[in-house]
Amino acid sequence: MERSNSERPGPAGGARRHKTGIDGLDELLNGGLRPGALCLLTGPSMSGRGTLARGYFHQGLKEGGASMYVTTKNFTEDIVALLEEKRWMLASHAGRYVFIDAYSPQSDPSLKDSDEVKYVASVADFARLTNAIVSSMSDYLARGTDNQRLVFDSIDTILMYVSAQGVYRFLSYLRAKVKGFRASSMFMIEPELHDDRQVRTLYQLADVIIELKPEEGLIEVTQPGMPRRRGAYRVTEVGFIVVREPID
Amino acid sequence: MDERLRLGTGPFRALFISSPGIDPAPYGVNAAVAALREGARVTYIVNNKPADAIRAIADIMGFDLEEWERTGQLRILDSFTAYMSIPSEEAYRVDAPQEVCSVVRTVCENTPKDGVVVLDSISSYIDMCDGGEDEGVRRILDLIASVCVGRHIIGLLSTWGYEPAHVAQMRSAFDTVLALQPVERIAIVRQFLRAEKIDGKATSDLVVPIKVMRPGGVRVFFPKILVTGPYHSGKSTIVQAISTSSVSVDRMGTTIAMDHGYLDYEGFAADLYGTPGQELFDPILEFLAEEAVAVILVVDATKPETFPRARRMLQLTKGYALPLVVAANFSDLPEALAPDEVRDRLGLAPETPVVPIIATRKAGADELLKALFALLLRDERLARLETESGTTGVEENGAFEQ
Repeated sequence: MERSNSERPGPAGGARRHKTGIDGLDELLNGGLRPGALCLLTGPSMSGRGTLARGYFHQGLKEGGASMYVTTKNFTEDIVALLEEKRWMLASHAGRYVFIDAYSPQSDPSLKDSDEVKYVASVADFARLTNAIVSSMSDYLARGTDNQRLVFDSIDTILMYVSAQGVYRFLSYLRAKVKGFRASSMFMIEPELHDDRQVRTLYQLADVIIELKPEEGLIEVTQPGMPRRRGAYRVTEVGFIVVREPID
Repeated sequence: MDERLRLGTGPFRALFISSPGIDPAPYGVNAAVAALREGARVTYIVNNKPADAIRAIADIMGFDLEEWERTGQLRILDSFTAYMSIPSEEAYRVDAPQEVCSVVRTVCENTPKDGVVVLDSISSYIDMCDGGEDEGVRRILDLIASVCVGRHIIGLLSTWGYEPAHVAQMRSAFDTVLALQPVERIAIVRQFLRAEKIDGKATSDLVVPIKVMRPGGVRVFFPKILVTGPYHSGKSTIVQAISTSSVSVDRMGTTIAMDHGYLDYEGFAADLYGTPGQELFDPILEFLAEEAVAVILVVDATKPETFPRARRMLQLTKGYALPLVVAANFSDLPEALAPDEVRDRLGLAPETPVVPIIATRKAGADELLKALFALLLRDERLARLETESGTTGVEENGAFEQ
């Protein structure tokens, strides 16, 4: 079975953490996301959430793993263009990534699945959405790729159509699957768009919360049983940088 | 399968209840197509995706809905677009999907009294209800009760960790409940359909492995049926005779590895694996037989002297523990033994089916398959396998704090 470097047991004997590829953030995370972790990535629009998530997606491919990107509010081509903007190219990683596109079919229902893209007709179709994610994870696992990561961009769109209870149930199931496959995951959410109580409910599912505060240029990491850690961040031409102390 | 599910007279209410990892929509489409083929008028309510998504699912399954839609026999009712606050381009649509009376009125306007209504999906209706789970369940039960007057209804429900009391209410709102359940290790490796009740009566003996074929639709799918028997009994010819497509790994006319066939027969599908018959291959028989769900034992009905070898092969393949059908080949020859005599000489139980067959002419192939699938549908071992299957990963009572 092919086993990527990041999955080899670390010094403590456990599976290696999934690095985000952002050194300062990996430091705040004690080395990266633990396999099986569900991370909520929060912050307002234009805060750099997408850049961080796409960097994490691409880092998995660089490490020889498999990455899945669920898009609910952008065309797949736009996500690919944003990746390429940072020189995060996909060509050399064929067969190890898939986009699960729940947005494009709204404008073109005739789109057919390919090796790189699975289409889901609507974000409210949880059964099909879950099926697309879990079958991708199964395929990668069957091919021996057990370093898997999932980006979900974003929960905001789902909360527009489905009740918070419904989203909670859906994410509970996905969380169990992420843990079962020893994958790591990043679910993006913009808390300001939703009722505070809804957001707090969803926070219960998170193993890690990464919060971006662009006004102050701060990034905060919260993990159960650990002190809250913070650093400064900046989005640059080539990606996302974090240092433990404010830059300015 | 349809025989077993034959319902009582009058309108029926059937519920497909699925674990979250299984997409129930293909089962709804399959049921709709079955009803359309019977000449029924069908209204397919879709509330969690555009109507085109249903056409796409049908297309992938190999069903062309166009003619049924053109004649009005099938009406796909868009109960989704209004949620998105965009105008629907569908001929049939619900303007206020959240309001039960609006849905009921539109369904009733479009479906005659003896028509079939497919509700895809009940879970999305609950999840998208602005009043939460309690209110969603109340509304959907209202809707089912109102629509169901004189009409048949088929509902699709994914169990996303709802309150058990709510799931129980859903179950009791339907006369027939068919559970779609996965066998999971980490990934779903197989799906089963288990009838919980049929026509109002609880049942536990109908459990079948099931698969959505693309194309082909929903099939009762047996992943491994073993075809074994002594050398030169006609195993390869029988695999070819009963398969839709087949391939043999042979040398100079003798199977040296195995035969493989795919079989698609009256709603059933199966993969057939034929073993070699020569004793020199005995060491691999056990491995070839692993995870088989049934055995077809092929014997030459004119050569009872080979029967001890047939019994030995059943031992090696553990065929005595599986549903077993005997194909008595060369039955057209004058010296062929009668089925009862074949059974006696093989030392098999009186209820073991022995089917006379002439493999080269495919005579008896149909009877052989009928006997095999009848046996498989009664097989209680499948029920046990199903109950031993893994969990879905969702707590039945998904805790939710407001």
